[in-house]
Amino acid sequence: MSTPVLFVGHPGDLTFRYTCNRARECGLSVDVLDLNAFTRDGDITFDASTLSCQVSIPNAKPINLFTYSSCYCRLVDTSAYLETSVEKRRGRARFSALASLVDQLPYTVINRPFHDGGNFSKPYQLWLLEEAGFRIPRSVCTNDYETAKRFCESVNWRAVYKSSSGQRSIVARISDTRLYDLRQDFAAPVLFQELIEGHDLRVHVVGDECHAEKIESSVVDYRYPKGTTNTFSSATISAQLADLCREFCRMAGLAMMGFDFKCDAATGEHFCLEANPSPGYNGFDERANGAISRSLLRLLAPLRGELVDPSVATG
Amino acid sequence: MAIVVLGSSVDHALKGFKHFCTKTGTPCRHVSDLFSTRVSFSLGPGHLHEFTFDSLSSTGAPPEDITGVWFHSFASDGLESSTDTQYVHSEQLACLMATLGTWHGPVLNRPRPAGNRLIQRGGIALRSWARSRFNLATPLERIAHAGDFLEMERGPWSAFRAFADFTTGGPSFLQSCSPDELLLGLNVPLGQLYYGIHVGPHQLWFSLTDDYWQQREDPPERCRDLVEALFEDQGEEFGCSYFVLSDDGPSFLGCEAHPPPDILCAFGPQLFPLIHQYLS
Repeated sequence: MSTPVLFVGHPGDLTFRYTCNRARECGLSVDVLDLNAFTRDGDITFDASTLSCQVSIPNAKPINLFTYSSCYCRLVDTSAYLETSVEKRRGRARFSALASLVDQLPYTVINRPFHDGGNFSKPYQLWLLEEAGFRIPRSVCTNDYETAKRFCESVNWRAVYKSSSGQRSIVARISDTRLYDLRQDFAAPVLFQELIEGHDLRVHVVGDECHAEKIESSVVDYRYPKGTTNTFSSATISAQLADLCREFCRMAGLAMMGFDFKCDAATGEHFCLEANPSPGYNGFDERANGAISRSLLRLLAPLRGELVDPSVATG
Repeated sequence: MAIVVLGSSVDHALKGFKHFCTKTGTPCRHVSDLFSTRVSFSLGPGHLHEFTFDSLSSTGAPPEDITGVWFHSFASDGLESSTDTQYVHSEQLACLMATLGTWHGPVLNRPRPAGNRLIQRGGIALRSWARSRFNLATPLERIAHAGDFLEMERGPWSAFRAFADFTTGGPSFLQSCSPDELLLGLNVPLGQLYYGIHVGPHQLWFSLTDDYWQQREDPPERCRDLVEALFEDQGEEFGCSYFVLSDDGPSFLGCEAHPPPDILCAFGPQLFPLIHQYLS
């Protein structure tokens, strides 16, 4: 019996649940550390002198973090949702302790906590991406109405706007009337970007492997199709673009990232919008017939040889 | 030309530094309110990487008149329980991190991608690094319930710290915790506490004797080496490190990129000239 792969995350997280199921489908033995239950009611005993770390959750099998050889984790601190201030404080301490220890595990961890590739700030990450060699759209991050107006005019109002931090927001077109309405309530800086007209491209990098999908959509933000239908198709990317993505992952210290691109319909150039350090890749994987998760599971179980993946066997 | 300090208006260390600047005749602007700050940061093809951070310059002048920025901390500034307020704060911080992360001038400490900075990954990671990189002693450490530590109190455990808090513990602290409180305990050896502060290329050293901090010129060589490697390898400009020197040699306890204000104030007369020099 091979060593189980450790999975740390929230059972309610679709991507986490999907990855657990894919691992089991492919014949891997999986031990799940339920982060929700641990944050609420868990116990952890760590001894640095013996490198032992026992994690216990009521009614679950105890887990010694140092007995595994690989770990997949999606860590989200949910302690703020606990009821009392004492529970919140304890939950936060449990989460911090676990994150610190998972960061230090002496084996493959996808992805290690704390690494974000600069994703906490979209303008900062755009700068890092440009420094790394990616083409990025002209952008301005501001809470100054006149500056935003000047930028939008400079691109003939062919611009979109979105949040500046890592917080998810619905990307939308900006118009002069919308910007004028925003000016009254313009405390938070907003990221304005030149609109790149063309299809979207999502590239998942897992280790050295790249998986690309083209997305054609009639709306600006394809994640919110609003009654329209997106068209997805597998795509190939140039070796140069793949190398840039791999190199950025290495720089960020991450084994897996999801890159968002816009492909300029007029020139064919790819503009990088964002690199996600914790990609929700499940939808892309289902359409790719499990190719992304197979790359991921091969990294998590390198000694298993070829995975037996029923989604491939049945075509 | 001015130095800019960013952080809480009630921060004693920033107040102390501003006072030092006044004495030396250096203009110093203090940005304490992110909420009323106008910001702009532009980038991309055809755009210069430029920013204006309006409060950095009360006259609205461009940032060319700023020599350096001390980015202290906004962690406790103006954060109400309102989700809207938190949203504005996080968006402002995101823009500020971009401006300071990419600015050409000196910044203490320059924002960088998380995870690439060992110092931000916490004490467990730091001590593990010190053990493997320098083979330097680090205290025994455990995460366990307060109740378990109280049992160990009769054994060799001489000091305890709250996890992610780093407040000095001890038996009275433990007794005030509920028995199932999760804590990080460090078995700190008995000895002299050393405190090293790193500012750019400079190191300052102090030791604590009978509640009195004394500047030292003779910290153990291995402490100097570790601090130099930690701050230079990780690209940190500013921070402090704690060691205990016992009969067995120096033990590394941890370090911080944002030294506590009371410590900064205590060392102000020696420290502020170095910060001033770095940012001028």
